[in-house]
Amino acid sequence: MKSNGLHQRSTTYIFISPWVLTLLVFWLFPLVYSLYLSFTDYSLGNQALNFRGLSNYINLFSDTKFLASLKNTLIFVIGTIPFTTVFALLLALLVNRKIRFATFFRSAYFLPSLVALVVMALVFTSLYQKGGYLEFLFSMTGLPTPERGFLLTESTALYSIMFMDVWIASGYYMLIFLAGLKSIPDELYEAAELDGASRVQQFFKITLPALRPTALYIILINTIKSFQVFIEIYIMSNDSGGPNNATTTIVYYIYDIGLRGVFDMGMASAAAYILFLMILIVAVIQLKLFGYGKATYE
Amino acid sequence: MKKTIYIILAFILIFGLSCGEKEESELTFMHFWTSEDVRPVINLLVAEFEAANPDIKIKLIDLNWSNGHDKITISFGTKSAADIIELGSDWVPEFAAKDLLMDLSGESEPYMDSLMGWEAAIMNDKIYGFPWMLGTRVIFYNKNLMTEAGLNPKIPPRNWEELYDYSKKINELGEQIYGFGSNAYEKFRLYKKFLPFLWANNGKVLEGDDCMLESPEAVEALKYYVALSDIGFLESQRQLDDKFMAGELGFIISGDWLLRMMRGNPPNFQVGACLIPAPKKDNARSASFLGGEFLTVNARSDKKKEAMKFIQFLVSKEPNLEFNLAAGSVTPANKQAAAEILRGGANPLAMVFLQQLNYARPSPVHPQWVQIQGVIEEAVQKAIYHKGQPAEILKEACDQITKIINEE
Repeated sequence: MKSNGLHQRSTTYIFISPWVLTLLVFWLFPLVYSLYLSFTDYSLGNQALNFRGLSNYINLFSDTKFLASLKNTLIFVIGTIPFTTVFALLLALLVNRKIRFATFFRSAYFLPSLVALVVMALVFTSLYQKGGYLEFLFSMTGLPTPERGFLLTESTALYSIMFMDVWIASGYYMLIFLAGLKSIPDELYEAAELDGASRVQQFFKITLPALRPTALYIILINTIKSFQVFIEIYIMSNDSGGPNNATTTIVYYIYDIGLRGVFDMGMASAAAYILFLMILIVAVIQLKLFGYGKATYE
Repeated sequence: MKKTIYIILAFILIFGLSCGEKEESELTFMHFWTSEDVRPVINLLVAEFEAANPDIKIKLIDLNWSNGHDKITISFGTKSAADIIELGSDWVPEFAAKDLLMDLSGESEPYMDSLMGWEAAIMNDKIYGFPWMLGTRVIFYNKNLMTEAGLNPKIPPRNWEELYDYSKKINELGEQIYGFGSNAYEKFRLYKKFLPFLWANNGKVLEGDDCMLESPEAVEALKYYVALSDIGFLESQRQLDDKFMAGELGFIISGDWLLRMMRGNPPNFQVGACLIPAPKKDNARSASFLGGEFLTVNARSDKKKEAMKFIQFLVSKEPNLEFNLAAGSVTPANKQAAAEILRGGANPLAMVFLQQLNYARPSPVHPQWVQIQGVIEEAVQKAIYHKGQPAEILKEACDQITKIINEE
């Protein structure tokens, strides 16, 4: 009996070993190794590997480009997540109602997130450019237009990318909110109606509390994704993080110093760990604020 | 069950052993994938070479322009770089400075006169690569817009003053029409647009290890470049090329890829080309950026003899001409091949490229050039956006460059 149990256990280990090995070799090892690298001057170019202590971290905070990337990333996160979440919720409420063509609208709103981000970014780049459609639209409605096109004017470049991001992400998170809405039992609404609760009261007393776990998931995932924004920056700034670093985010900065030119892996790893810490702190705060683990209905 | 495993093992052994046996030596060649037209030609050239040298087999490894440099660096880092590597002109000194490339001074000696463009491959009096395909940039202009602006389309701008003046006149033609195509910041591209103006004004980036960007010549060049940009259309190179092809730009600095675009999709206006002008001064001469493709040998390669054989074949007249024509380049490194293009003489725009080649220069050869050019580009960008006076911006840039040079 005992030997049979041992046999079973070893079979289990053999079956999960491919995944565990992959995790160890391709995830955990690089994770730990890059922490080590962040204290060295390792660069792919010159092959040197000397211990530098904390100097990478200190140098980062005196690098104006890195400071700009910190600022831009925070603007990006703070400026997109509330909008994406609210829009996604509104869209979900809208398509959850028994209206005509509800399925059509659901697919239509979800569609942008099915298209590759690179393609989306290229489309928006041409919409945003000087003499492009958006400028035309703005001037028709009498709005001021940026001097060098939306993406090449410092004051509008980052916000233009953020706008696109909200537009794409809202549809995707709408679907998750919709799943959350569908899981709220109808009896709750029926009971509330019998008790004479208004629509608004029902929304605030039933719908919102019931959606709390869904909202937490959405905000958490979106926060992590937004902190790591890169592809749209890379494409829409013509791989420059410009104009004048106006769109340089942390991951773009990491790519710029670590993966080309001087290949300063040490500095890049340090920047990556700072990003990791930022995400960790924000995530913990969000979990606390949402009272993770508490019961849904009070 | 066991039997099957034995059979499989036996097969693996047989297969493995037969693969291990190698009669001919395999030469790996990392090269850049430029367009579909190039592939059949390079295959043909490889077949021709292999037929003449049955003991050598060429294995092509494709790279592309967006991440080729990274791949090469990583392959050197992991000691898996190919025997022969095609490198952009700026990269030869970068890798040579790290002792990753073989010194080919001896081998290049007999070729000094038959090939052009060696400057970019020379570092500390040693030659690290063979020029293969050269590239330079000229000014293209829209003749129709010049006529509309009351200018003579047969006389392109001959100096800075005229270029500015003509651009301004074309700029005033209408809302969607712009005089000059000014490059927005794109890494590894913007400096190639500014340096010709610096050089034409007798300015320099470096003299030995000293930064020369604070000189009055450099400040003047940047001031002029900013003025030109102010009356121009600021966009990425790709967008500028498109805008020019759409007939909405008067002047644009571009390379031979624009000729290729025009061949595939002829514009509905008359196109002219001229040398990038110099200021109206006695000692000022046109200047342009000299780029190109170089064939280099990995310092770790144990097949130097074979590698040289293949390189010498690629830079000889016929193969060089064939490859350049397929790649759409009008400036082969082999002088006889270039003469052949001149003789063919169909496209007058191509002539301008060959003429500009006489006034084209590579980036200054310096092991830290990758960082230095980054500083120059940031400075030019700042100036274009009027983030300060050109003199201050260049002083700041010089301080940074001096720091970079002294760090190593």
